[in-house]
Amino acid sequence: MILNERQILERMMDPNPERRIIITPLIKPEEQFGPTSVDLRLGTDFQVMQRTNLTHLDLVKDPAELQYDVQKHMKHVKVKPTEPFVLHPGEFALASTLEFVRIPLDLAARLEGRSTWGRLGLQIHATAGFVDPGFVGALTFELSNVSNIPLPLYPGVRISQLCFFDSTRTNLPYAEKRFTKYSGKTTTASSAFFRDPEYQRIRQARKEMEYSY
Amino acid sequence: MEKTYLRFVCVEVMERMARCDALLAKLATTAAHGNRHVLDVIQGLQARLAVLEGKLIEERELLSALLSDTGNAPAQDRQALMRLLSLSYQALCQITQVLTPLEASQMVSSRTNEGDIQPEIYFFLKDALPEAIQPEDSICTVVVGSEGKTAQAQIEETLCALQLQQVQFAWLSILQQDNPLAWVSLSEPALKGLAGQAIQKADKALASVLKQITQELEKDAGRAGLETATILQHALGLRIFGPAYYFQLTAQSLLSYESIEHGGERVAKRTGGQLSPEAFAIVENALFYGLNHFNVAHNQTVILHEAGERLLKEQNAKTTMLSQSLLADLFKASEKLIQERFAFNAKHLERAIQLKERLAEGILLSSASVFPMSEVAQAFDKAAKEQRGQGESEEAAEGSFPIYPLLSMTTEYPHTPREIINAGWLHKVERGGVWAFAALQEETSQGLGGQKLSAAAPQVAYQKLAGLFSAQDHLLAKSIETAELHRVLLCTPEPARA
Repeated sequence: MILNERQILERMMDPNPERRIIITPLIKPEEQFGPTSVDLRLGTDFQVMQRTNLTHLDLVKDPAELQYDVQKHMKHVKVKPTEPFVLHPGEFALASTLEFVRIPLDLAARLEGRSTWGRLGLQIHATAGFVDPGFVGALTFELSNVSNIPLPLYPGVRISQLCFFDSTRTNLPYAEKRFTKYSGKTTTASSAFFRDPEYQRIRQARKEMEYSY
Repeated sequence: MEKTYLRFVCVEVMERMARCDALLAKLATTAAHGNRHVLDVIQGLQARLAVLEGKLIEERELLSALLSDTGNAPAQDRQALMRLLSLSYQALCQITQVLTPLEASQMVSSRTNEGDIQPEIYFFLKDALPEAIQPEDSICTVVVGSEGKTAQAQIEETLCALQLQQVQFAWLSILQQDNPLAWVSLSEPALKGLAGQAIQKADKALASVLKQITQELEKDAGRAGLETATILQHALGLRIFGPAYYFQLTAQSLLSYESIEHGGERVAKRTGGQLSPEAFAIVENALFYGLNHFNVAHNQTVILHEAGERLLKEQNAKTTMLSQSLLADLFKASEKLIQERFAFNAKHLERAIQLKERLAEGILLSSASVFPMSEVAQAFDKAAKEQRGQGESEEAAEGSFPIYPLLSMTTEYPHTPREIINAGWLHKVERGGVWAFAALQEETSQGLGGQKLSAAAPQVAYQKLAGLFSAQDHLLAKSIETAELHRVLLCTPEPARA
């Protein structure tokens, strides 16, 4: 069941900290609350992949090397409160919500774009809009401009909405998952795919194959 | 040695070692893909730091007793630990001197724009030292340097020779660059300027107080080099920053490279070259008195101050303090110099104490609602009851009352950077010992009771500690930045709740 505005508000006021939804800062709640969602704002830091001297990311390289590659090619852009980040047509950038969010263990959430921005061609996530129970931190946007005009994005603008779903209480909160990578982050975090255990297995298998030849 | 004071120093030294460890690891990763010779230097420094970490961890039983709430250690052992901390800090200073990048200076203009300094530092300085109280239109340069102020002194000397004295320098250790709690020290040139300006323009009353203070200071040879302007500068700092100024100055004074290497001769004679609060005692009393005067003293400052006083008595220090009537006059004068609207007052401290709890939970502390959520919940219940009173069923009543008045009650207002930083300091003073204790316990407990410790254990312990401090740094910096954007969105250029 999706929570309506009263249920979301009730959860934000819940005296039991474990059941409480935290969304902060709540700058203009009257503007942010919708019938079944809360609008979230764009934060100030962005990450753009610089491709000029990057041929590809070799996914089976050593994790430390890969981390270095990702960091080296990711350009961090910090935007001042009254300045825009211009997302050009076809461009992809990572960003994060201005808000810090904590989802209780008995709720899941989904981050969605606002139709106002969708009509301008802004997509706020590529495929990962689901938020696990127990998530803590700023949510990541995977921004892309699918229109043919550049979009100036000002920090603090409401570009997304978060809706909540009832669930039975999980025993595996996001922060305690064995291979969790993004919990507790307050700024935009780039992909840490190289930490996924399957790459370790692939690397190992490749090494063994090399030896066998 | 008084446990509280020693614990404060111990956490500071361990924190800086942990920060140094993290910084070297970062530099080594970059150097591994670049210059091989640079990597050799970094690896050499890492090896040196590992020796320091190992030496300190060897004393883990003593450290654990010091950092835990219940344990204690004989005075002799505590003296030995103090000596070890002192030596470790000296060695750490040498490492950071090698690390200091020469180009690591950032310009910050107080009037036109924020220059190339990181935005959070600019937001912090803009809040604490707004244009209205800036001494003069001067460019301030933040120099990222080693521990100690040797680099700053050299640059100032050069600029003096070139007659470019309008450029002021604020010094920040390379280890503390990302630590918002240390940014208080960046206010030094502005406070110095303010004090100098106040002395020049002093009215009769202030001139008389300053003259008496100068006479008092001249009576005591131990206070040689301490100027009236410095005391006034600290009074202004306390008025603007509150307890954060006290904590930062305490840390800076106790772990000052100069106090060990150069100015420490007097201290060395009495205490055998250890780090000692004696060098700081002269102004510490005035600082603590100032916090009380401005009604912004917190129990953590009281505990630390009392510990320092007891320690001085233990060491039979003969430092006589400035008379209380003189201090009262001085702080009254500084109240007039910095108007109430720019000062850190009791309400700010109250909010900092509340924010400390959020910091402990790892929640962003940029803002809070005016009404506590319990009051909003009461209003929610009342609205539902009223609706039921009008004959609606319970289910219908739940869904039919207007929600906008309730939502407006949840509106949040931004905190000032000074409130956020004070919360950070209070949290660190309260929890720093526990963090250090936990890191030591977890990684080195297998080595207690004479068992052999694994070679990697000290480094893992320091990495854990660095992780804790780094998480706090991020949360504080993000809170300062978010609060600034919040203020812009509310269209309130001045801090909304100042």
